[in-house]
Amino acid sequence: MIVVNTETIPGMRIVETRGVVQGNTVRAKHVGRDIAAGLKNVVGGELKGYTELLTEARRQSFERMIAQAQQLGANAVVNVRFATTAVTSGAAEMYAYGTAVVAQQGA
Amino acid sequence: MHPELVMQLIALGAGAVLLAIAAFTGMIIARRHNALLDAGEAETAGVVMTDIRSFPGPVDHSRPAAFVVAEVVMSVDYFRSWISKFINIIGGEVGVITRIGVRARREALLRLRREAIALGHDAVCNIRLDTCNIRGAEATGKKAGAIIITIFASGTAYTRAP
Repeated sequence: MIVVNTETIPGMRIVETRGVVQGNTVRAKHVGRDIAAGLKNVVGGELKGYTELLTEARRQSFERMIAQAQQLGANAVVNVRFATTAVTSGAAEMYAYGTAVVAQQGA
Repeated sequence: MHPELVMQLIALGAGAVLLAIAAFTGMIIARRHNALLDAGEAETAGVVMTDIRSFPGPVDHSRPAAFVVAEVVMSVDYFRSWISKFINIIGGEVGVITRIGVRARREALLRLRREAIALGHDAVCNIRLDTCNIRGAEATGKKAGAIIITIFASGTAYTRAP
Protein backbone atom coordinates (compact mmCIF):
# COMPACT_ATOMS: atom_id res chain seq x y z
CA MET A 1 0.00 0.00 0.00
CA ILE A 2 1.45 3.32 -1.11
CA VAL A 3 0.41 6.22 1.08
CA VAL A 4 1.27 9.84 0.29
CA ASN A 5 -0.09 13.23 1.22
CA THR A 6 0.45 14.54 -2.30
CA GLU A 7 -2.23 14.35 -4.99
CA THR A 8 -0.10 12.25 -7.29
CA ILE A 9 2.35 9.37 -6.91
CA PRO A 10 5.63 9.83 -8.77
CA GLY A 11 6.14 7.26 -11.51
CA MET A 12 2.57 6.01 -11.22
CA ARG A 13 -0.69 6.75 -12.92
CA ILE A 14 -3.95 6.79 -11.02
CA VAL A 15 -6.31 4.65 -13.06
CA GLU A 16 -9.24 4.41 -10.71
CA THR A 17 -10.60 6.31 -7.73
CA ARG A 18 -12.27 4.24 -5.05
CA GLY A 19 -13.42 7.06 -2.80
CA VAL A 20 -12.58 8.63 0.52
CA VAL A 21 -11.32 6.30 3.23
CA GLN A 22 -11.05 7.24 6.86
CA GLY A 23 -9.99 5.99 10.24
CA ASN A 24 -10.31 7.50 13.64
CA THR A 25 -9.54 6.73 17.25
CA VAL A 26 -9.75 8.35 20.63
CA ARG A 27 -6.91 7.38 22.91
CA ALA A 28 -5.84 8.30 26.39
CA LYS A 29 -2.84 7.58 28.59
CA HIS A 30 -3.15 6.07 32.03
CA VAL A 31 -3.30 8.49 34.92
CA GLY A 32 0.35 7.86 35.85
CA ARG A 33 1.40 9.38 32.55
CA ASP A 34 -0.79 12.40 33.18
CA ILE A 35 0.78 12.91 36.59
CA ALA A 36 4.27 12.48 35.14
CA ALA A 37 3.42 15.06 32.45
CA GLY A 38 2.20 17.42 35.15
CA LEU A 39 5.51 17.09 36.99
CA LYS A 40 7.49 17.49 33.78
CA ASN A 41 5.61 20.71 33.18
CA VAL A 42 7.49 22.22 36.13
CA VAL A 43 10.95 21.73 34.67
CA GLY A 44 10.16 22.01 30.96
CA GLY A 45 11.17 19.84 28.01
CA GLU A 46 9.38 17.36 25.82
CA LEU A 47 6.39 15.51 27.26
CA LYS A 48 7.36 12.11 25.84
CA GLY A 49 4.26 10.43 27.24
CA TYR A 50 1.99 12.71 25.27
CA THR A 51 4.14 12.48 22.14
CA GLU A 52 3.72 8.72 22.46
CA LEU A 53 -0.03 9.15 22.88
CA LEU A 54 -0.22 11.05 19.60
CA THR A 55 2.02 8.53 17.83
CA GLU A 56 -0.17 5.63 18.95
CA ALA A 57 -3.36 7.46 18.00
CA ARG A 58 -1.95 8.38 14.61
CA ARG A 59 -0.82 4.80 13.91
CA GLN A 60 -4.18 3.36 14.86
CA SER A 61 -6.23 5.79 12.78
CA PHE A 62 -3.79 5.27 9.92
CA GLU A 63 -4.18 1.48 10.10
CA ARG A 64 -7.95 1.78 10.09
CA MET A 65 -7.84 4.04 7.07
CA ILE A 66 -5.60 1.58 5.23
CA ALA A 67 -7.86 -1.34 6.17
CA GLN A 68 -10.74 0.49 4.51
CA ALA A 69 -8.67 1.16 1.43
CA GLN A 70 -7.79 -2.54 1.21
CA GLN A 71 -11.45 -3.45 1.49
CA LEU A 72 -12.17 -1.21 -1.47
CA GLY A 73 -9.48 -2.98 -3.47
CA ALA A 74 -7.22 0.06 -3.65
CA ASN A 75 -3.43 -0.20 -3.76
CA ALA A 76 -2.69 3.39 -2.74
CA VAL A 77 -4.08 6.24 -0.68
CA VAL A 78 -3.36 9.78 -1.87
CA ASN A 79 -3.86 13.22 -0.35
CA VAL A 80 -3.85 11.90 3.21
CA ARG A 81 -4.77 14.42 5.89
CA PHE A 82 -4.89 14.22 9.65
CA ALA A 83 -7.14 16.11 11.99
CA THR A 84 -7.27 16.10 15.75
CA THR A 85 -9.97 17.11 18.17
CA ALA A 86 -9.91 17.73 21.86
CA VAL A 87 -12.41 15.32 23.37
CA THR A 88 -11.39 15.46 26.99
CA SER A 89 -8.34 16.31 29.02
CA GLY A 90 -5.36 14.01 28.37
CA ALA A 91 -7.03 12.27 25.44
CA ALA A 92 -6.67 12.76 21.72
CA GLU A 93 -8.98 12.02 18.86
CA MET A 94 -7.00 11.42 15.73
CA TYR A 95 -8.77 11.29 12.41
CA ALA A 96 -6.99 10.21 9.23
CA TYR A 97 -8.55 10.47 5.81
CA GLY A 98 -7.48 10.22 2.22
CA THR A 99 -8.56 9.08 -1.22
CA ALA A 100 -8.22 5.39 -2.03
CA VAL A 101 -7.06 4.83 -5.57
CA VAL A 102 -5.79 2.15 -7.88
CA ALA A 103 -2.43 3.21 -9.29
CA GLN A 104 -0.45 1.61 -12.05
CA GLN A 105 3.24 1.73 -12.86
CA GLY A 106 4.15 4.31 -15.55
CA ALA A 107 3.50 8.05 -15.69
CA MET B 1 6.07 35.99 64.84
CA HIS B 2 2.51 34.92 64.22
CA PRO B 3 2.46 31.22 63.12
CA GLU B 4 0.13 31.95 60.18
CA LEU B 5 2.48 34.60 58.86
CA VAL B 6 5.35 32.12 59.13
CA MET B 7 3.39 29.56 57.12
CA GLN B 8 2.65 32.14 54.45
CA LEU B 9 6.29 33.15 54.25
CA ILE B 10 7.28 29.49 53.86
CA ALA B 11 4.73 29.05 51.06
CA LEU B 12 6.03 32.18 49.37
CA GLY B 13 9.61 30.97 49.75
CA ALA B 14 8.74 27.54 48.33
CA GLY B 15 7.10 29.22 45.32
CA ALA B 16 10.18 31.36 44.76
CA VAL B 17 12.47 28.33 45.02
CA LEU B 18 10.29 26.43 42.53
CA LEU B 19 10.42 29.38 40.14
CA ALA B 20 14.21 29.56 40.43
CA ILE B 21 14.57 25.81 39.83
CA ALA B 22 12.25 25.94 36.81
CA ALA B 23 14.07 28.96 35.37
CA PHE B 24 17.32 27.00 35.61
CA THR B 25 16.05 23.62 34.33
CA GLY B 26 14.12 25.30 31.51
CA MET B 27 17.25 27.11 30.41
CA ILE B 28 19.44 23.98 30.57
CA ILE B 29 16.85 21.90 28.67
CA ALA B 30 16.48 24.62 26.00
CA ARG B 31 20.23 24.96 25.56
CA ARG B 32 20.77 21.22 25.28
CA HIS B 33 17.82 20.86 22.91
CA ASN B 34 19.08 23.65 20.65
CA ALA B 35 22.51 22.02 20.47
CA LEU B 36 20.89 18.67 19.55
CA LEU B 37 18.76 20.41 16.92
CA ASP B 38 21.79 22.16 15.41
CA ALA B 39 23.71 18.88 15.24
CA GLY B 40 20.72 16.96 13.86
CA GLU B 41 19.98 19.54 11.20
CA ALA B 42 23.62 19.62 10.10
CA GLU B 43 23.64 15.82 9.94
CA THR B 44 20.45 15.65 7.85
CA ALA B 45 21.15 18.73 5.69
CA GLY B 46 21.01 16.58 2.54
CA VAL B 47 17.24 16.18 2.84
CA VAL B 48 15.42 18.80 0.75
CA MET B 49 12.32 20.00 2.58
CA THR B 50 9.47 21.79 0.77
CA ASP B 51 5.85 22.53 1.48
CA ILE B 52 4.99 22.42 -2.23
CA ARG B 53 1.90 20.32 -2.83
CA SER B 54 3.47 18.08 -5.42
CA PHE B 55 7.01 17.01 -6.21
CA PRO B 56 9.06 20.12 -7.05
CA GLY B 57 11.65 18.39 -9.22
CA PRO B 58 12.39 15.14 -11.06
CA VAL B 59 11.75 12.07 -8.94
CA ASP B 60 13.66 8.80 -8.84
CA HIS B 61 10.90 6.21 -9.15
CA SER B 62 12.89 3.21 -8.01
CA ARG B 63 11.87 3.72 -4.39
CA PRO B 64 8.18 4.36 -3.68
CA ALA B 65 7.26 7.68 -2.11
CA ALA B 66 6.10 7.34 1.48
CA PHE B 67 4.13 9.25 4.03
CA VAL B 68 6.24 10.54 6.91
CA VAL B 69 4.88 11.99 10.10
CA ALA B 70 6.15 13.28 13.43
CA GLU B 71 4.60 14.62 16.55
CA VAL B 72 6.12 16.62 19.38
CA VAL B 73 4.55 17.67 22.65
CA MET B 74 6.52 20.28 24.58
CA SER B 75 5.91 21.51 28.05
CA VAL B 76 6.43 25.06 29.21
CA ASP B 77 8.26 25.10 32.52
CA TYR B 78 6.82 26.71 35.63
CA PHE B 79 9.02 29.81 35.40
CA ARG B 80 8.23 30.51 31.75
CA SER B 81 4.51 29.99 32.20
CA TRP B 82 4.66 32.37 35.16
CA ILE B 83 6.47 34.95 33.00
CA SER B 84 3.85 34.47 30.27
CA LYS B 85 1.07 35.23 32.74
CA PHE B 86 2.90 38.40 33.70
CA ILE B 87 3.34 39.46 30.04
CA ASN B 88 -0.37 38.77 29.57
CA ILE B 89 -1.07 41.69 31.88
CA ILE B 90 1.20 44.20 30.18
CA GLY B 91 0.77 42.80 26.65
CA GLY B 92 3.37 42.19 23.93
CA GLU B 93 5.17 39.17 22.54
CA VAL B 94 5.48 36.22 24.87
CA GLY B 95 9.02 35.45 23.74
CA VAL B 96 9.60 32.67 26.26
CA ILE B 97 6.80 30.66 24.64
CA THR B 98 7.65 31.72 21.05
CA ARG B 99 11.06 30.13 21.52
CA ILE B 100 9.57 26.88 22.81
CA GLY B 101 7.27 26.85 19.75
CA VAL B 102 10.30 27.25 17.50
CA ARG B 103 12.07 24.35 19.19
CA ALA B 104 8.99 22.13 18.93
CA ARG B 105 8.63 22.78 15.19
CA ARG B 106 12.34 22.32 14.53
CA GLU B 107 12.20 19.01 16.40
CA ALA B 108 9.16 17.88 14.37
CA LEU B 109 10.85 18.76 11.08
CA LEU B 110 14.05 17.06 12.18
CA ARG B 111 12.08 13.88 12.87
CA LEU B 112 10.60 14.07 9.36
CA ARG B 113 14.14 14.37 7.96
CA ARG B 114 15.31 11.38 10.00
CA GLU B 115 12.34 9.31 8.93
CA ALA B 116 12.96 10.17 5.27
CA ILE B 117 16.59 9.09 5.62
CA ALA B 118 15.54 5.86 7.36
CA LEU B 119 13.36 5.08 4.33
CA GLY B 120 16.31 5.76 2.01
CA HIS B 121 14.85 9.00 0.64
CA ASP B 122 16.50 12.41 0.32
CA ALA B 123 13.58 14.84 0.07
CA VAL B 124 10.24 15.59 1.70
CA CYS B 125 7.51 17.59 -0.02
CA ASN B 126 4.05 18.81 0.90
CA ILE B 127 5.09 19.35 4.49
CA ARG B 128 2.24 20.36 6.76
CA LEU B 129 2.69 21.64 10.28
CA ASP B 130 -0.38 21.54 12.48
CA THR B 131 -1.07 21.98 16.13
CA CYS B 132 -3.35 19.74 18.10
CA ASN B 133 -5.09 20.06 21.40
CA ILE B 134 -4.76 17.12 23.76
CA ARG B 135 -5.61 19.01 26.91
CA GLY B 136 -9.19 19.61 25.94
CA ALA B 137 -9.69 22.71 28.09
CA GLU B 138 -12.38 23.89 25.66
CA ALA B 139 -14.08 20.53 25.44
CA THR B 140 -14.26 19.95 29.16
CA GLY B 141 -15.02 23.53 30.07
CA LYS B 142 -12.24 23.40 32.64
CA LYS B 143 -9.95 26.30 33.20
CA ALA B 144 -6.81 26.07 31.06
CA GLY B 145 -4.00 24.46 33.05
CA ALA B 146 -0.32 24.35 32.25
CA ILE B 147 0.70 25.51 28.79
CA ILE B 148 1.75 22.74 26.41
CA ILE B 149 2.70 23.04 22.75
CA THR B 150 1.67 20.22 20.46
CA ILE B 151 3.01 20.01 16.92
CA PHE B 152 1.96 17.53 14.29
CA ALA B 153 4.08 17.44 11.13
CA SER B 154 3.53 15.38 8.00
CA GLY B 155 4.91 15.15 4.49
CA THR B 156 5.71 12.85 1.61
CA ALA B 157 9.25 11.49 1.43
CA TYR B 158 10.73 10.68 -1.97
CA THR B 159 14.07 10.34 -3.75
CA ARG B 160 15.22 13.08 -6.10
CA ALA B 161 16.42 12.16 -9.55
CA PRO B 162 19.76 13.70 -10.60
